[in-house]
Amino acid sequence: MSRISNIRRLSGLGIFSLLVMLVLAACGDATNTAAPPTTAATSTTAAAAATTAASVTTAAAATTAAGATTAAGATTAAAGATTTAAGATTTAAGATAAAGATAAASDTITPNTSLSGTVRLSTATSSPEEDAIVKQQLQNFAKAYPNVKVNHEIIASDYDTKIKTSIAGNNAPDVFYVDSLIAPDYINGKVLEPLNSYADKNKVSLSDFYPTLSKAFTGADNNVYGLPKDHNTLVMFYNKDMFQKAGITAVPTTTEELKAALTKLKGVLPADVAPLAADPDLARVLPWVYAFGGSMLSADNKASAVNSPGFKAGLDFYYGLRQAGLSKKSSELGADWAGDALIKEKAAVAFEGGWLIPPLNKTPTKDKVGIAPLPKATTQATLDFTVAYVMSSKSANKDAAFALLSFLTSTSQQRLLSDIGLALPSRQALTEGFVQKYPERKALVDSTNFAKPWQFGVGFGGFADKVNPELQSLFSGSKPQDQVIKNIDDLVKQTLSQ
Amino acid sequence: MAGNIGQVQVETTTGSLARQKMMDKWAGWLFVLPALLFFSVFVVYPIGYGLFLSLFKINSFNIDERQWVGLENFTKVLADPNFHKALLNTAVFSFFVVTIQTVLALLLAVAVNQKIKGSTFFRTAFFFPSISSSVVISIIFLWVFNQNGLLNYALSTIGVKGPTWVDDPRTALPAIMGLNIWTTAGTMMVLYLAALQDIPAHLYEAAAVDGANPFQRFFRITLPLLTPTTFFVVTLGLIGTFQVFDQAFVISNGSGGPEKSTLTAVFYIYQQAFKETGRMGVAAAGAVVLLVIILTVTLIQRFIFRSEQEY
Repeated sequence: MSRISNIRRLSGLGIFSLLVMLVLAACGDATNTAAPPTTAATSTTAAAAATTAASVTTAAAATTAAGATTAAGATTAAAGATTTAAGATTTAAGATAAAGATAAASDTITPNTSLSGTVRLSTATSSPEEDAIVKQQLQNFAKAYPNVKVNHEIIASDYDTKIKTSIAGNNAPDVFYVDSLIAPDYINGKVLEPLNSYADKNKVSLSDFYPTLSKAFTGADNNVYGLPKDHNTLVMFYNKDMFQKAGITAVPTTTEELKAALTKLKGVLPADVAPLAADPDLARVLPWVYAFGGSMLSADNKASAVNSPGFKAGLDFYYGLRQAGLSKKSSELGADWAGDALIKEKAAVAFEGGWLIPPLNKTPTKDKVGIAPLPKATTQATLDFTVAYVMSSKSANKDAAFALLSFLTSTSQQRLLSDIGLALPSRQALTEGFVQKYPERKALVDSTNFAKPWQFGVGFGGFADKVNPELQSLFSGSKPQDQVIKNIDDLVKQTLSQ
Repeated sequence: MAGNIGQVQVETTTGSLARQKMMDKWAGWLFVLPALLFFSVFVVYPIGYGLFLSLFKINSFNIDERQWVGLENFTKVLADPNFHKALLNTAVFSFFVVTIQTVLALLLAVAVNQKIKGSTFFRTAFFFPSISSSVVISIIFLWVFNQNGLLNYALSTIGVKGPTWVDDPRTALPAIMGLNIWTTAGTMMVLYLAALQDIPAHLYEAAAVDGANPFQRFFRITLPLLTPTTFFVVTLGLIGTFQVFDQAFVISNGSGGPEKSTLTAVFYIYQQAFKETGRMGVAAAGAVVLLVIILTVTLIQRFIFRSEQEY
C-alpha cells in the first residue's frame, strides 16, 4: 500500500517537475523569440515581406497610395509593393555594393567611445534597396560609435499600428520612423522626446533641413521632435512612347493641356490601356484641390474647408477624368497601384513619387518614362510626403539614441539614401548633388517649391483611411458627388472636434 | 475486542482512503493544469481584461492611463454606423458561408465515402486548403481575383467580362465568402466523414431490404444520424465566421474596403483598437457585444438542435 502511494507520489512529483520544466522551456523560448532579431535575419525576412506586401497591395488599389504613406510610414513605401523576392535580393546586393562608396563618409568621423549601451531602432521596410542602405548606415555607425550596440528591427507591414502598440505596451523602440501624417498625434500624446537640447549639446545644426520638412515634426511648443530622413513629392510620370504615338509634342503643363493630351491618348491606345491610372485616394485628390485654390482645412487648421468651391473644383477635375473615360483605377487595369499600371504599360500617365523609380528601373519600361511636375490649374501644387527619425520619450539611453538619430540623418549618411534615388534628401546641402546626378528627376526636386505637406494636425493620423471609402463610393458610382463631399466634410468636422 | 480491532482497521482504511482521494484529486488537477493554465492565460484573462477595458477611456499611447466612463463605450459602439455596417457584413457572411459550407462539406463527405477509385486522393485534395495558412491562401486568391486573373480568364472563355472582384463593393464580400468556403469546407468534410463511417452498415442493409431508394436512405438514415455532427459543424462555422478577420484584412489590404464592404465585426474592433487614437475602450466594448452575440446565437442553435437529438 505504502509502496504504491510512494510510487504515486514520486510519479506525481515527476509529472510536476516535468511540467515546471516545460513551462520554463516555453518561457525561455518566448524570451528568445521576443529578443530583437539580428540584422542578417531581418533582411531575409524583409525580402520575403516585400513579396507579401506586393501581393497584398493587389487588393485595394485605392489604398496603395494612402496605405503606403500612412501605414508603412516611409516616404518610399509604395516602392516595396512591386518588387519580387528574387529581384529584391539581387538589387539589395547591388545597392550594398553601390553604397560601398561610403568610405569617404566614415573617413570624416573619428570614433566616439564615450557613449555606450544598446539602442533599439525600428524602421519600416519600403523596399530591399532602402533596407540595404539602412544596414550600410548602421555599419558606418558601428565604426563611429564602436561601443553603442544597435538592435535594428524592420517592421514589414502595418508599421504605425505596430509602433503604436509597442508604445502602449511600454515597449517602444528608442529610435523609429514617423510619417508626417501621424506625427502630430505622437507629439500630442507626449511619446516623443524633444530634440532641441540634444542638438544644442551635440552641436547638430537643424537649419540645414528644409524648413517645411522640419516644421512637420515641430510641436505647438516649438520643440523639434524629429529629424526628417528624406521626402518625396508627387509628380507626373508619363510614357514617352505613348505620348509620341498620340502626337503629343509638349508635356502638358496645365490641367487643360493634360485633359487634351489624355483625350488624344485615348484615341490611339488599345482598349485595355488607359490614358491615366488614377485611384480614389485622398493623397491623389488633394493635389488637385490645392491646384484649384481649395483646401481641406482652413488656414489655421481649425475648421473644415471641404465645402468650398476649390475643393469641389479639384474633385471635379480628378473624378471628371474618370467620367470622361480618360482614367481608370489600377485594379481595373490589373495592376497593384497606379505606378504599377505605368510600369506594366497599362497606363500612359500616373501621379506618383520617387518610390516608383526603383521598381520602374527593374523593367524595360524605364527608358520610356519621363517625369514632369503636376500640371497647374489656377495655381501649381502638389503634396510632399516626409518621414523623420524620432526618439521615444521613454528611451533608457537617450544620448546614444540621439547619436544614432543624428548620425542617420547626417549629410554623409543621407547621401547614401538619396544616391539611389529612392527619395529626395531632406538636407538642402544635398539637393544640388542630387540634381546633378539625376537631371531627369529634377521635377521631383522642383516640386518641393510649391508642395504642401501631407499633414493636417492632431487626430488626422488615420484620416485617409476614413476618407478613401467615400472616394471609392464616388468612383464606383454608388454615391453622388454632393453626398461624398458632405460626408468628407462631416468626417473632417468629426475629427477636428475629437 | 473484536469490534474494537475492526473499528481501528476501518479507521485506518478510511484514513488511507481519504488520503488516497486527496492524492487523486491533486493528480487530477495536475493533469489538467497545462490545459487550465493555457485556458486561463489565453482565454479567461483576456475576456476579463476586455470586459474591464470596455468601461474605461484609454490613452492609446499608455494603456495604464485610463479614465472610468461606465457604459459610455457601449453607447458609442452601438450608435456607430460603421459597427452596424460591420455587423451586417458579418451576418451576411456567416449566413452564406455556414449554409453553403455545411451543405458542401456533407456532399463532399458522402462523395469521398463511396468506394470509388481515387477517393483517397480527393479526400486529401479537399482537406488540403484547411491546413494551409489562411493568409497565404488569401494572397493566392488575390491573384485569382485580379482583373486579369485566373477567374476572369475562365469567365472570358465563356464570353463574360468579369468584375474587378476585390475592388468592387458588390463582389468583394462574396469573393471572401468563396475563399472562406473553399478553405474550411475540407475541415468540415473530415468531421462528416468520420461520422459517416460510424453509421452502422446494418441500417442501410435493413433499409435496402425494405426497398428504400438511395434518396430515402440518405434523408431517413444518414442525415438524421449526422445531426450531432451537423450541430458541431454549424457551431464551429458560426463561431469561425463571426470572427473572420485575416482574409478580409489581406483581401482589402488592411482597409476593410472597398466602401467598407469587407469591414467585419472583428475588423472593426481591430481598427478601433489599433488604427484610431483613444478608442481602445470602444474596441473592447465592441468585442463584448460580439461575445454576447456569438453566445446568444450558439445557445439558440443548441436549443434547436437539442430537441432533435434523440437518436
